[in-house]
Amino acid sequence: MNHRVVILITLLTLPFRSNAQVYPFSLKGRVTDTSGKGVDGANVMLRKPGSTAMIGFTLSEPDGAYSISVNTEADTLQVLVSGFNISSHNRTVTRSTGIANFTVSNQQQTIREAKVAADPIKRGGDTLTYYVSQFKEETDRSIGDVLKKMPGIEVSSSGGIKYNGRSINKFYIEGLDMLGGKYGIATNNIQASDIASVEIYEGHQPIRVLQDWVKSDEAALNLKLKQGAKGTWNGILEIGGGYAPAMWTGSFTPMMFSKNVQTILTYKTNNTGNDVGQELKSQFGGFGSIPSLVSCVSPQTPPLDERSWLRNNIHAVSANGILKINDDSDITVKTHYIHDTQNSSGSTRTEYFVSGMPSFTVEEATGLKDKSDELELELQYRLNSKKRYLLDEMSVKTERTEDYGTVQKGGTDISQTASLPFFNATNRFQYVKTFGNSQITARSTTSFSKRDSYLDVTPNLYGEILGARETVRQDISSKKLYSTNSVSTSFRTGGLIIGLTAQGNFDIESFKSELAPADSMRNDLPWKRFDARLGTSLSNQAGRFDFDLSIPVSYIVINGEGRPLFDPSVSARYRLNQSLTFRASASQAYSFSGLYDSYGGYVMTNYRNISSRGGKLNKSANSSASFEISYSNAVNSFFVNGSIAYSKTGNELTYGTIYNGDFTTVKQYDMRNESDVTALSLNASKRFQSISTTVKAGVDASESHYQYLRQDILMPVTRRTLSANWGIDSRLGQSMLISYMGRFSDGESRFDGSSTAGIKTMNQLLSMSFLLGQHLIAKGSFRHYYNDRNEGEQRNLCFVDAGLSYVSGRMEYTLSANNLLNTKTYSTTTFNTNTIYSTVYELRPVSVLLSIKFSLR
Amino acid sequence: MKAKCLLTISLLFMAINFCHAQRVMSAEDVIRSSGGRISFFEGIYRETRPQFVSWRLFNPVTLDESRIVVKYDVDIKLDSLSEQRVKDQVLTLIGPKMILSYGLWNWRESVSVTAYYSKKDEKPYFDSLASEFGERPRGYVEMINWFVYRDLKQRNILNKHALPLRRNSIEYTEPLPKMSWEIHEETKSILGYDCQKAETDFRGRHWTVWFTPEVPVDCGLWKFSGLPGLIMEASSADGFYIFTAVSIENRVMKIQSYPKVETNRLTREKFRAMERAVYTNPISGGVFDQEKGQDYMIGAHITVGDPKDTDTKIFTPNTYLGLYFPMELE
Repeated sequence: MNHRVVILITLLTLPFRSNAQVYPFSLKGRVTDTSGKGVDGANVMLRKPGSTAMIGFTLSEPDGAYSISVNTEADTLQVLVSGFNISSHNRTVTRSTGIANFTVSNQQQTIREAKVAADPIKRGGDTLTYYVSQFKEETDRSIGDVLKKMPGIEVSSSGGIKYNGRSINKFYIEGLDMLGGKYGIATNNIQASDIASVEIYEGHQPIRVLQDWVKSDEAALNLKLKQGAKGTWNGILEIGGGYAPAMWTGSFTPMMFSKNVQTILTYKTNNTGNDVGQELKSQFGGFGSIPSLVSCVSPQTPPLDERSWLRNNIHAVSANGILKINDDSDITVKTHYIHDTQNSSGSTRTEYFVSGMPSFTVEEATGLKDKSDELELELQYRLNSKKRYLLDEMSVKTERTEDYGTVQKGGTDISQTASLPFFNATNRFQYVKTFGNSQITARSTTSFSKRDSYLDVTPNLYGEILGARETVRQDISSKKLYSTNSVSTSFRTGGLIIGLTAQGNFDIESFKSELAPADSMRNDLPWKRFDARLGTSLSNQAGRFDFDLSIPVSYIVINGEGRPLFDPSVSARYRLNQSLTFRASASQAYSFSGLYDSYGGYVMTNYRNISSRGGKLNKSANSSASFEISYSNAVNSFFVNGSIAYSKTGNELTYGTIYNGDFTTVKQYDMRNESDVTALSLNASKRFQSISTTVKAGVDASESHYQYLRQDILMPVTRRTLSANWGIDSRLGQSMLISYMGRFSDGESRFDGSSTAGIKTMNQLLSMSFLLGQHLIAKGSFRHYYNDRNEGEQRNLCFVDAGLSYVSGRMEYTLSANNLLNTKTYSTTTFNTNTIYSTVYELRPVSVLLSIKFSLR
Repeated sequence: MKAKCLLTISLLFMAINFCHAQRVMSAEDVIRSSGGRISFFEGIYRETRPQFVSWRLFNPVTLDESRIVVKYDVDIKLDSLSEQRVKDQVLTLIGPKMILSYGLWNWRESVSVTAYYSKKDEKPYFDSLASEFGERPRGYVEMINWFVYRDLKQRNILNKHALPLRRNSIEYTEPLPKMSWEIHEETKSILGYDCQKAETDFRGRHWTVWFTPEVPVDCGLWKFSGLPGLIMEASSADGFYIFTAVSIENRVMKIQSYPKVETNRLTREKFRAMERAVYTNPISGGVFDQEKGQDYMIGAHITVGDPKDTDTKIFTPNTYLGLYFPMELE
């Protein structure tokens, strides 16, 4: 026996059966390897046939010998011989067997791997932590892919992120705000494998000095990197090519995140229909936009994945960085340049309804080439300490867009050319400081914008109005200088915070347009608007209940004419507990139409629309109220938000459309009109971690009432919409991933008691991935679009895509085939009040693309 | 963070003593001027969990490489009165020559400290090791202080222990202890493996374990041995320890020893006496006022917000409960 540990088995009471007698059952023998050498330490176990539980076991001696005895009533037992790195053997023995020898072979043992599902989300105070490893599957590449599976987090198709129904106000990477609203750069390019967790800060006030002063109702998102992803260069280099048409794709996205410096650089190019310029757009909105009044008529883009219809040729490069100067201050630089050409062609049939009259239609086949360049630079300095906040942000943006279009309508070929250059420079400044029991905030934003555009249409379709000319040109020149400046202070008394604000804004614009020398075809309008506003506000900070009451009084001078305004608002929030929050708000607001709603000379906005706005200013009054419930339960990974909102608007002027043959004019009527809208929304999402499944669903419904003026006939309209969306992401077993989402919508408008027979649509996307061994992933996706207004085969449209990826170390090879059914066109019917648009859009043909990705780390 | 707090408290004390000597500012003045952020208490001041000093694991020596890696969640009862529990994790690396079982988060802390201080040649290794295990999840604390190296050929065990606020590693070697198991026919499934129940009495605690013959290795966690399959779950009858396997993987990890960690080699008996002293003496490592004849500590209790949220706990000599509940009571 020497040092071999002998294990004595004490046998347990076996279930007593009447007449069952137990006797010793003994067995001995030797366990040897294939060369006849004894195997030391092999497990020899005895079981009853058909049972997984053993009733006795021993370990073999160094020479392979074993001996075992158990007390049992059974006459037949199973012997199982196993061990670390030896083959397992199984034999049935009886009481008379006595000796059983086993010959085992060496065998590298691989056990079945298993893992317990840990909590996917944890809450600590107002912070929710989503552990990426609990959501990430083998097919997920960017962190955006994983965010979509997290309950409570919504990622819209444009890349905007919402937490429990509300847009986020900051996107941080390791606590640093490098990208501002352009966080699509991060969600699309940071690899999910580099992120340890995603944190949501509920009610996040990004300005530290205001944290005790101004409650925020929005959440911020923070990406926590894995240790190994910090301080080194990460990113992906990808190149690929394919056919039909000849296609390329390429990208290089080096990035680095260290303690004091972060940078993401991207260069992306393709003609595969991937609009990589979208991720460079800010999700937070900007200043000083000037509407582009003119445009080329183009087919309405289909609501499909852009890769199935977009014919592009894009180069997009961006450089983004943040440098932390010290604990409290940083400098941010963001710049990008996009060069893109997009081609589209299709046909549109537009049907206009007028009460009491037969509807009339416009049919046209259009082709458009849209060439655009965009350059943007943003510089920002920010000091965000506990005592002071100072921000200065400068941005310059220039765009050049040239459109070349052709239209075939009723046997006429029309060519349209538009040029829409745009320039904007903005400076934004903010300073906050606290003095004991009070704080002072100063804000100033000034922006200058300019757009000089033209639209050429050949041949001249307006001969009677514009005289004999080969080509009609609409020239427009717009400039805008806008500035908003305010100083506010607030102080505490008891549990209340009382605030005072003084604000001065000015908006100086000019708008010149010329379609023909006649005065009615020209505009030369100055616009000078000055706002002076004094406001008082009252809010509280303590406890579960908080509210904000704001009572501002303004005096607005537009082109020398002054008007007083009063816009009170109140909002309240009650936090029942960490999970459940109720919100209610009500407000009254007045607004005036802007320069582009009040021009008097006619403008050709597209080849078949000439319109003016009558030259008078519209004043509108809006009252609105809303109620919202949000529930976030991290323990159950369950999130729900629901809201109901009502809004009523009254306008002093009414705009109406007159269709004259194929041409449209917009007219202003000195007549009041009122509209209201009630909207209901409910969204829920839940993660079932034990089965690696996320389920999301939502319903939106609305009813609105308004008046519509067409051909001088006033039509009261009631419009109802209902939409539902659902999605499920799940892992089935070890090697299959499935994602299914769908959306149903139903909408109808009624006027004069008759209905435009609603349109029902449904979209479904099903994609399945199969993990074939360690390296290979096969993917198939199926998309279905249904529109009950379409005819025949176009009512149901299906697309099939397939792909195969081979992942090995830092390399990934992907072969993908798109539009395997080679669906050539997409038809859709949509409606807007009492107009039905039926569009046929030419899609990208069946194609194959091979790409190679190399991960820098 | 914890270290910073301790440091702040000590500095504060020095400052207070200084002020006292200068007769410039009394402790009450300090409290008043802190605006309610600092309060003082008299009593025994103890962290709610042991504070380990991280080891610098430079120049590790690889003894073997694992074939299988098993991770266990450990659910530990902090004291029998409040029934308060915390969690830690244990990693067991099973190699052909050696089996190593140790507290994951205590080790992981040492790994990141080592990564921070290591020179260029070693840094990538420790960085990657740290990132492999990520950040300590919320709710998990460093409780398991042992490293059990089981040499399969020598049939002995090298025990290494970290003790609270002690920089050195304390170690002793013992022959593989014999455990007599009582096997039951009861079965249950853990992580999809069929497991069978077994019980043993070992050094003062009664253990119930669930092992799986499907993984035919004679081990599990800590120094458990003598069963024909991997132990997937182990719990002590007094409820102080519950180990449950949360993952099992075919994974190659280096089984390493760390020769640069300062080590005291003792006998098992001496180690046990030392362990007992460190865990049961509430004022070792603390500050207390001997002049006033106090045999307990006066500590500064820094609270921002609700004191319940901070990690410190105040005891009087009557209510003091130690963290002394070692796995071996004999």
